[in-house]
Amino acid sequence: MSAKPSRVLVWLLRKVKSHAAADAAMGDILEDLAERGAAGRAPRWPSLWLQRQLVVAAVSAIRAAAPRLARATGHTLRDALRGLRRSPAHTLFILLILSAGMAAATVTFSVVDATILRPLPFEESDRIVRVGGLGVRGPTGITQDDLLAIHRHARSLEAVASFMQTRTDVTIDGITEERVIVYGTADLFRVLKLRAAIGELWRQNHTTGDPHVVVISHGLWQERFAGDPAALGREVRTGKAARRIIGVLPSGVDLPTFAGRGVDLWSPEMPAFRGNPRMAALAPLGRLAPGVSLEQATSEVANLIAPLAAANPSLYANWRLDVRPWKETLVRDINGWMLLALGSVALVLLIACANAANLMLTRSYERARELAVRAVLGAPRRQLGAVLLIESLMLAIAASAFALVFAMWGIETVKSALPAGVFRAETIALDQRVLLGSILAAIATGIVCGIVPAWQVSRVDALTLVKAGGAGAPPRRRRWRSVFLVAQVSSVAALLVVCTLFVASFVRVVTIDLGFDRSNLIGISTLIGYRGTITDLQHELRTVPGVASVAAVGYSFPPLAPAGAWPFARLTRHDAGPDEADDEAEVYRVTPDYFDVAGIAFRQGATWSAAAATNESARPIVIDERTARKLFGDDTHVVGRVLRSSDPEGMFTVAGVVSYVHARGPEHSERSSAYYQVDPIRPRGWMGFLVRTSAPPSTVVRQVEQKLQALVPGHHPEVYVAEDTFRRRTETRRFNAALMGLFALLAVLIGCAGVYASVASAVVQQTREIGVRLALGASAAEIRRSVLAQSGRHLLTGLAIGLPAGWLMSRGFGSIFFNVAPGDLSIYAVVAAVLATVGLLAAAVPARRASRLDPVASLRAQ
Amino acid sequence: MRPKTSAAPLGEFELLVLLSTLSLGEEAYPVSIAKDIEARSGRKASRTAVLITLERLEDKGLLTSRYGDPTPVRGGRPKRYFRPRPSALEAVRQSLARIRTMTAGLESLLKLR
Repeated sequence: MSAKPSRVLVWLLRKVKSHAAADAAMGDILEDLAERGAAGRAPRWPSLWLQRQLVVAAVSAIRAAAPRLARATGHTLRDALRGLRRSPAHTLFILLILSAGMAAATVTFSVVDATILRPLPFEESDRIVRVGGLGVRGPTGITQDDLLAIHRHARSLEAVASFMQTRTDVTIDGITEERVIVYGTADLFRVLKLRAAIGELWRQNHTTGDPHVVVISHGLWQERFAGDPAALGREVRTGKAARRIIGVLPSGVDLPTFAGRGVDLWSPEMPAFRGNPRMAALAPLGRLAPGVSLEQATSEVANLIAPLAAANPSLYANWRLDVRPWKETLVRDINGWMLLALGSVALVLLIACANAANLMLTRSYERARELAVRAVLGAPRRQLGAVLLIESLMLAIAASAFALVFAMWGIETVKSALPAGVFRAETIALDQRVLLGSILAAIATGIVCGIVPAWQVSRVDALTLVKAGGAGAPPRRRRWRSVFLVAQVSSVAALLVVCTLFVASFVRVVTIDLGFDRSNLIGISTLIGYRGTITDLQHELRTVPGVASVAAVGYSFPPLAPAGAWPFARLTRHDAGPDEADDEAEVYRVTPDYFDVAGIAFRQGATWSAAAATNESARPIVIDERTARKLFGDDTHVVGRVLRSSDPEGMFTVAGVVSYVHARGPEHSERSSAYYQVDPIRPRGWMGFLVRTSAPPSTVVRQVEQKLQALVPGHHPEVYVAEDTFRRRTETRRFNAALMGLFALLAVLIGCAGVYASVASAVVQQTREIGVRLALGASAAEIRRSVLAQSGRHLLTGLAIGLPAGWLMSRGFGSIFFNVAPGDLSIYAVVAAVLATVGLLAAAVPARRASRLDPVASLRAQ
Repeated sequence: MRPKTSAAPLGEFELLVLLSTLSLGEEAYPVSIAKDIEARSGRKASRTAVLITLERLEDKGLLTSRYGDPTPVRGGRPKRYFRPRPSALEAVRQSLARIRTMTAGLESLLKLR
């Protein structure tokens, strides 16, 4: 016989019919074929005919079976739904933990991916590096001479460009608005590999020959020129300069550094910088040349800078080159805690899935007796298995639907709660891939949790099932339950350690003594152009209702100013030798009442008198306790000692020692502060003020602003409420403490429910054993104790694994915690106490139930 | 398994298949039945249609089936033989009676006999 049935079709036919029936049907076809051949009616292509007949046979079999299949599916679905409805609390609980876990994971991953994982939106963005430096106080920049040397000679960098962003008033067609502008050097667009949507982008010759050009963003082009190509050549005024538009960037192009606000204009003109070259702190971008590694580029740049450093050693003291991928520098502040959050949420999801799985399994085993009875009554095994499988699947699918809703809500909540200035926060959106991944994970959990009991039900004979009837689990399963319980407790413990570290950091940040009193305090930074004296201005401000007292800070910024540069001076003892200790202190030139207004406490001495201001020979200075300790050791008689100061230059007599002030917020404590007297009669340059209010500062701040505008028209000094700046400075801590707190709460709740469910089902499965013990005379208290002791052992083992795991997890992230170390034993004690209490409470309910069993009833039930 | 309904009316093709099964006796399997129907009634009967009808009749409880020995002409596959149950005779009887009742008085019109 030449024609052979296709294997696939044979397989298909055997799937839709019984094996024997399918074989017989194939036999019929082959016989038919043979007879046609014998009768001279053989089909032209016997093989094709054969396959066609097989298809027809399979299709007709499916058609014939369709109504039966539909009916059976309907029954299975109905049974599964009934099963779920029979224990609503159980069902709801599985739904909640699964969906909460999935939603938390989806939201967290979406946030982490959008902010730190996704590459920057530029071609080959991983080749863009930031050429900066590291000083004593962290990241800083390079000097203009360094930049020039790199720009001229570096071969390992294809292009180098520096840029700065700022907000400025921009006038287009007579309408002036505040816009974000980037001032960049010639090669900025080459570094970013950008091309114009229309027109051209500025190049080398523009910067040297014709600086008055500008490139605008796609958004601005659409908004102000309605996308009209005639915008090219039109005039834009930025401040006093008129610029001609030469190009428009494609849509979606933006610099990722000004959070939440896109760049509108790109100008080829870096403002010239005069003064201390170190203060310019340029941190240009470079694009690595093809085939060049970061290390090669770093060493070449270091070689180029070396001669400059040799020529001016003091400028390069305590400074070293730092070249790293641009993205890394952008996400530096959030990288650590975001990754920890991601790790934590993965643990939460794991705990949620494991618990859901355990609950589903427990449930399936509890239903074993019912299924066994149905099997005895003639229900096909396959169908019983299908009921279990579909029940689990339905749960997983429903949980996915809930998770989608939770996740959409969660994303919006997180976006509104994220601290200001988180990199790319505005691009955060629900990540569909992650959601899909979580849904698949949940469905896989459902399938696994359905298949295991379904498989067992379908292979054990009915009599055994009826006998086992949900009680008396095999020893192997008990052992698994112990492993599960221990794993669960240890994951929750590890997670709690990390979360507690975050929460403790936050608590310590907000409760730290800043060294001054930030309540009812308003700051005014950079008031420029006032013609009168400081005394006049203090007097004017005091007339504002709600203002209690006013102090001035000249040439510097008051504490907690939203932004600012603090000049600093080097202080030494006047009689110090060349090798003796010195200290760098930030310079505050203040009026004598400054300490009183700011609420800064004196440790020794007092502020200077107004008369001292006129005494040129012994100018007073107030230092803080850190400087005092550094220069004079533990000497308690610092008042009256004489210091040499670098800028302002000269000898100063210590009038008092005050407490250390965290001027920039709780997490900045790099430099000490030194207070010099300001001349209240002849103010020069800019001035700042501190205003102590007698009313809530938010009600006074507006009036202070109006007063200042009346006094200095046309100038808008920054007026801020100290408490608000403090809140902003601690926002990230607040956010991640809240996030981790939420994770911890979720984990504890889920874990607690898991402990309860495990112990409860262990008690159910030990009913016979407990019944026998009770019948033999064991007291209720003994039974309760033995159940609790069993759970206690598991809790202890879990803690013994989980606490070190938490330490390991957080150990690498020590720098993101504040005033609390990952090795802090009190953290572990708290976590252990909380978990032990919660775990034992969760176990106490089933233990109590076990002790109240009626021995006769429990034995009869078997 | 569905309950037996001896009174369930038979379709025309079902009646033909049942009659053929009755007349073929021990040799009734899909191929022989299809050939028998074609030979005696002149009505074209596909093997697949016959098999599905046989299975349906088995579901209705009118037939039983058993598997014979494999034969070489069938590629080593067995035949599936069908045998009527007593209820099948009753069903055929009722169907024929219905037809007789309905044709009574129409003999001359239908030119029967």
